[in-house]
Amino acid sequence: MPVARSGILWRRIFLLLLIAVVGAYFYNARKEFPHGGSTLGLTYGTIGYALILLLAFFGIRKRWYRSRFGTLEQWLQSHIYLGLLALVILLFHTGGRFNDKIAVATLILVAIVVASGIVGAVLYVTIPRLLTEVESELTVDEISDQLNQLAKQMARIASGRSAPFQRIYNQLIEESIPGWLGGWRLLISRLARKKSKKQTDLSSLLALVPRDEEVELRQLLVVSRQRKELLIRLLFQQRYKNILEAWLYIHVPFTIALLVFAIVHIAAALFYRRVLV
Amino acid sequence: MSFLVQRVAAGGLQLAEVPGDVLSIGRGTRAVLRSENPAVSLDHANIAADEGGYTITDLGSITGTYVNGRPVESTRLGKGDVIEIGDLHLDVQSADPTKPLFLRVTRTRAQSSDFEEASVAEVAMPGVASLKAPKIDYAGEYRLQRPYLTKVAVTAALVIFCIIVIGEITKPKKQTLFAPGAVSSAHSRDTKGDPMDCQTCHEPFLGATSSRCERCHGPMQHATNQETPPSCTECHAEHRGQGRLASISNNLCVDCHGNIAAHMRRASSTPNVVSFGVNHPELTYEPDHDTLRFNHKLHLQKGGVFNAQGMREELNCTFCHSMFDVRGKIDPAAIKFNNDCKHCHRLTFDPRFPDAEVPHGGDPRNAYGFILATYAGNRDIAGKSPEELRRILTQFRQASVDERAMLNAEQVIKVKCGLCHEMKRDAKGSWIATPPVIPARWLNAKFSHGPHRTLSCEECHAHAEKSAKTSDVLMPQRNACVGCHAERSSTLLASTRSRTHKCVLCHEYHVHSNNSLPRFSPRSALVRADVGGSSGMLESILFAAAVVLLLVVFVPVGVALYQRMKPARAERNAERRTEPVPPPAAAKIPPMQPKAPPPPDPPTPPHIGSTRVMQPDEPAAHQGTEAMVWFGMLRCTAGPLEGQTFIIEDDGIYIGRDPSLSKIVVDDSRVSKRHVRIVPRDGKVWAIDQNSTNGTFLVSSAGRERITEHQLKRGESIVLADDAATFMYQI
Repeated sequence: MPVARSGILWRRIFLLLLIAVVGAYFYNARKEFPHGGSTLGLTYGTIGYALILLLAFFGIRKRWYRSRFGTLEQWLQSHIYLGLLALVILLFHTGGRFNDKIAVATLILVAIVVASGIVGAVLYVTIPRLLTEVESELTVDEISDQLNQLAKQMARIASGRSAPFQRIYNQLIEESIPGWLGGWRLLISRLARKKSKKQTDLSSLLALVPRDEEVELRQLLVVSRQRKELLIRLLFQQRYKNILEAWLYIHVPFTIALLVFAIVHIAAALFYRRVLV
Repeated sequence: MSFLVQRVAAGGLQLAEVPGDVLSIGRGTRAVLRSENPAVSLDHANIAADEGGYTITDLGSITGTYVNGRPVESTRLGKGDVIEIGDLHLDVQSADPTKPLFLRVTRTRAQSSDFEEASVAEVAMPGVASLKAPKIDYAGEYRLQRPYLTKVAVTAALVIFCIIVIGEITKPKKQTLFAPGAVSSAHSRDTKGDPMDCQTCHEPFLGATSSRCERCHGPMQHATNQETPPSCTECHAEHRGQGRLASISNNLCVDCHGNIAAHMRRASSTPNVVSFGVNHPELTYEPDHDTLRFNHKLHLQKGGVFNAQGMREELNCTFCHSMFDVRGKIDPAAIKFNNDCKHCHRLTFDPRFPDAEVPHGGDPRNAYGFILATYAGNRDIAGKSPEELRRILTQFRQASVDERAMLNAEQVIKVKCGLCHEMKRDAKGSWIATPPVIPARWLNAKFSHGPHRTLSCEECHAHAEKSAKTSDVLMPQRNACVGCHAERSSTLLASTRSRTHKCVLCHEYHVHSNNSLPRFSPRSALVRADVGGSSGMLESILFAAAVVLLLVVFVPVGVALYQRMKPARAERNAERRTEPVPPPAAAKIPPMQPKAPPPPDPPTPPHIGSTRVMQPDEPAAHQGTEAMVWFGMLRCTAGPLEGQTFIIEDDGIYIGRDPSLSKIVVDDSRVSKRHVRIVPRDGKVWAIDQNSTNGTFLVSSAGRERITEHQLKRGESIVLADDAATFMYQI
């Protein structure tokens, strides 16, 4: 995967700022007791909070298609590198003192958000490659349409047949109905599982089907098998898509929670300490 | 004979002529008219041309071939016929046997729903029950986002949690959670032993102000001529986990005292000091008042001095300067005649009265009185305390004074007292001793002999043995201190070195006069302040926010649940309606559905063995994804099937040459009829060679290795026979 130019640019900016932040901290630590309320601590805290707001703005900028202020790619690269920098700055903002429990909670939230962001960035590099491997010519929506069409065909085959036949049909259809929170279970379920009990039940049912419906039954089973293959394809594509998206369910809500805690932390700092002269 | 195929493509219509007598339709590579749609079989159907026209024949496809909506095995095509194969939609534009068959191809996906409705209506046959397949948005169902589980909902839930937590910790007693560090021991508890409230010291939005400190500590100031006194917290920084606030670093002092002129508007004589070891001024002492004659050299001479018993006794410093321990501070007590001098210097005045000693101190007339009374025969006053003497003597009637006795008394006082005291005559002509002035404290700094007790006295008070004059001040000079108290002293233990050079070790910052010494009485001074009278307001804000957020979370969840319940209920009702489907064992005649259209064909009556008994229908539980088993797939990377992928089924697949024995057919003579089996076992996928003639090989970096049984790992490739076909295992 070729690295985008803005990626290199932002990596350099990140390294320079990182050196500046670390250097300034250790230079200042000799003169001033390092803590969140020292001059440097307040500076870092303010910069850190501004960065958090800027980074959170990425979520708006991403959906703001008409904006011409920087390309989205530049925004993404800056989001990644400034996000890492924000964690470093806020770590130095603490001055190595972790007593204020609200502040520590805020820092933990920052760490969670940055960590999930790193996971997301790694996923964005690795998963699309895997996705193209499994991606067939059909999109997930097309497969979904096909599944419904095949279900129609199965219904067509099973219509007017004997009761056991229809029960087989029902079971085959029900097997394929997505369960509760199917997308999430897709993430955590081991893909290979033991045969479920349902399938063995089916075999006992098969014996009950009248002999003169055997041709249709075979047709039904073949269509069902085809349908199952399609469904597996869909699940597999969708699984990668879900993996690509799931980390956002941590990243985004925790960002908002972080903002809440940050505001409380700042309010408390203003309330208990004279920050503004 | 040939075929003309017109496709609707993005750029418009495309026309292609296909020569030959047969037009094959399918998903496989052999097909001329191809569709990637899985509903289309590899070899689905073909259209053959003969003299009489064009015939379409289904080649045993799974999904069937439909002409004008009816499934067909084989039928002759006419103009205007519509052929449906999977997603392919073929319009027969012209079927003249003398001309090429003109087919217009469109894909039906876009109109699939219409198509479905139509076809369902058409094929709904009055069987035991006509079936309608549920329409499920699989792509949507397997998406992460659910109506009740959006990022907004998760966010709102999390924010509610945050607000509850924050609401809890902003309660008055719990605000120590905001403390950026432990407070000093003096400030940690109030007089009742409860944790001190933040607002005892912190003024809202102003921080810990000096006025809050002064509530308990009273006004405190530095030197009276200080122009810009710092606030208390500038020196006494709290919440840093130190036990004592008074342990101030030198930097705070040196900030000003390193360059006094820069901090003063008017000229100051105060010298600049950077540290004790560098440019601290010499220690200065007030001059001795020289009111008492004392010769240290004489008292400390080797061989000793005569004592009261006439014996020689050798003295040392602590013989007179006895050390006292007052609340942990060990210091020499003030010299008192009765304690320290009398041992040698008895105040007897006449050998005839060896026990009569003149009382020391007090009114000089006592001495006269005592001596006169002794000569007058009042012997009973000997050995009495001065106070008692004074009482006895004042009771005496003024007796006529014996001239000789008076002269004796004068002589005694002049000689005995004059040994140490400066004697003068007062207005009446009596001898009187000038009261000695001995400073209680020479050093104007915090000092205790206790920590210095390991040193000998001479190490600091070096001149004592040589001093013959009373006016000699025998206090140590800076040099005596610098040896240990310089910033980088090597003579001290590392554990004490960090504080022995501190300014505050000797100097007191605040000016304490005895009158203004603040009486620290926390009991009266502490004001119990709950945080905020504003806490009520805070709570109501938090409550309102929580209510809003609850709406954001629970309304969508409720709506989603309702939507979920509704179809379920509708289904159940529908089931109840169709419930009276009699068990097939009892039903000889299939019951007619009231709404079912008349049968186009006589339905096949279900064949039911008289011995078979059906269990009543039970609603099957949702199986969900559990039924789906994924073992990965094989992608053919070389060979006749190149580019195709095959999903590995749970009961395994065979690869071979014979279509009746193998599912994946490799049409190559080097491949055995049944060559290799790919089968999942305990969740792992194995390749098992089926005793093939030319073998199965595993491609690895080392080369090729013939395998009989091998567990496939992701990305591994197996080669059949001698490069006949290569399959890569993917997940």
